[in-house]
Amino acid sequence: MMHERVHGTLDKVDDLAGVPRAVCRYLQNLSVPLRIVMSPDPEFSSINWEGVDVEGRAASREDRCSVTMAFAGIAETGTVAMVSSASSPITSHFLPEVNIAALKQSRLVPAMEDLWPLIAEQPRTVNLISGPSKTADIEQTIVYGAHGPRHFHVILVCDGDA
Amino acid sequence: MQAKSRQFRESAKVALLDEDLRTAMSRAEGGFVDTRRAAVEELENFQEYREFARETKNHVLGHLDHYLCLFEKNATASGGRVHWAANGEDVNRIVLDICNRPGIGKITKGKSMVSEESGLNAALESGGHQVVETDLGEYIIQLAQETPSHIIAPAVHKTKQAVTDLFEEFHNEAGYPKVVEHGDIVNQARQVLRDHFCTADVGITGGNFLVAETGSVAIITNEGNGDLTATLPDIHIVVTSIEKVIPDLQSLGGFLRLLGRSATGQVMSVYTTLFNGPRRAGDLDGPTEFHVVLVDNGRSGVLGTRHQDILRCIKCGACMNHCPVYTSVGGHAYGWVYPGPMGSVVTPLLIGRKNAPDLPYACTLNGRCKTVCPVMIPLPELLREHRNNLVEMGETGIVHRLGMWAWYRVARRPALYRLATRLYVLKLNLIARLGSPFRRGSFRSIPFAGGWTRTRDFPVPQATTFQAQWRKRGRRGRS
Repeated sequence: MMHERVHGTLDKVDDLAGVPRAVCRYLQNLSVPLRIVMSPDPEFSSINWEGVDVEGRAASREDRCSVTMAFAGIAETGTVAMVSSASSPITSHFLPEVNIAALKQSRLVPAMEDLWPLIAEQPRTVNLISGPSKTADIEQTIVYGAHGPRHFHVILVCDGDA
Repeated sequence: MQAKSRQFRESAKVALLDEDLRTAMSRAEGGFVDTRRAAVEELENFQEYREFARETKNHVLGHLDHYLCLFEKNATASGGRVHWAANGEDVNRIVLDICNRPGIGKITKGKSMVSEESGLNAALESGGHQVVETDLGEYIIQLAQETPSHIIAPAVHKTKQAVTDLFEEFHNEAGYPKVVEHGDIVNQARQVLRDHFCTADVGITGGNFLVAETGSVAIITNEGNGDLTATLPDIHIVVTSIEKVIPDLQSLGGFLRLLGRSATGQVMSVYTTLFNGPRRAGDLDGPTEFHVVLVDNGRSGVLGTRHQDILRCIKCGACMNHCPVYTSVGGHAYGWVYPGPMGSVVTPLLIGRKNAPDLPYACTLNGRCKTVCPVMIPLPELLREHRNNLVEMGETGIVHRLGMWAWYRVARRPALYRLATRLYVLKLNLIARLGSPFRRGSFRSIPFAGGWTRTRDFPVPQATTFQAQWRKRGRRGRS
């Protein structure tokens, strides 16, 4: 997976239940409060978020950190694919300064061409995210966090199917 | 946008004396060229993707009506509204019609070169709307009241110092401090533009690809400004042109592999988003209206002509990054929306050859643009074709015409040609020996060739003409 080449960071956990601890670890390293807005995903709701202040809704401009559930990952480019729905709002990928995406290893595909067959019906948006927001509009100097997240972190859930 | 392409020569002269422009452009050029090379070399079958892209685009351009109608059908089925704009006035009228209703004041905008063609921002502003560009480069040039000088790096001609000054002038009143470092400048823009994102009533973006099979609009950015513009306001309007359509999602990946690498040397841009219609039942965010304005503005007139290949362009900017003329004079000298080699080809087609007679000559025919073009557009050939057209139209100057006429007369008589070239070489050698205007090995000026030597030195020729040397060698070869 090329995720780190596109300047995102990556952590691995054994199962979904391990996600909250990985989130804590990451946020503590960044010295960001353990308060997150989480996609209202049924799988997220079923895990124990003890120690983290979580709210399941779409992000607003006050939120500093969001946790989202990836639809799939594309190995060739280190891209995380998000598919919008009632349980996967779009603003969560863009408004907070820190965006953490949980990605199941079983949902990893080799290339973009392998992603489309997984999407049975076109959702309102498919967001392909490859790293944190950045710009080089001033003198070709790369600066992270132009409008979207400054930090993009993927927690790979090794669910054993891949 | 008011075209100033007729003044290319004058604008280029001014640009060449602009120290800030030279500083900014020399910094940019190396970055684009080196990062592109590294990214292209890393993809083993880059050439196969180029051929795939060329064939796919050629196929679509051969059946453009079919694919556009398919796109319209599918975009409409997902709740979008598709509008057809034959020209720039149509674009402005359609967008104003959507925006002219009570409660709509602020409009945020993602980068859209197509909207520059019709001067959409000015039209919206005279309609009483506030328009805020959100791509950092576009925002900078909006503050400076300028136009983009590069299709993907619109503020490439600006130095950091110039941005510092602009931000001080415009943000000071709102209590923002002076910012000097890249990171601080970007951060301040982030804060200022956040307010606009969150209070806008309409978001207007361009579109990079239109996927006919699904009716999706693909928008690609690195900053994420396109997505915030498209998602936060109640209305999202896409303004894009008809040649952006591709058949299906399966072909999108090939184009993306070429685009990111050719544009910025990225394996993949940070945000690639497919938009399919407005907010759906149960969705927690997104606009309630989704409009797509499909702009022709002269493109359909290029179909079936010798210039059709230019419609394959995916607007990566690689041709201008590798162009010695563009990197010397910058984008504004070209006088309309699109600069560099692709601009010199497309501008005469869209605004009329008579309105851009110098652009086909803003080229040394070195061919680098063609070598790097991800969709294999033969740019030098298309520029030469423009030159042919200009001659046929009688649009070339009297000196040019007389010169070509004289050359034609002389070149058809071998004996006369030999004599003339021998005399000219004799003349040059004589001047060189007399020594007055020459530096060692080259001339600074030559009588009757002032136009050529004004901007470059001419090397002192070998003692004899090419033909004389060729004959001598030929004899040696035979013996």
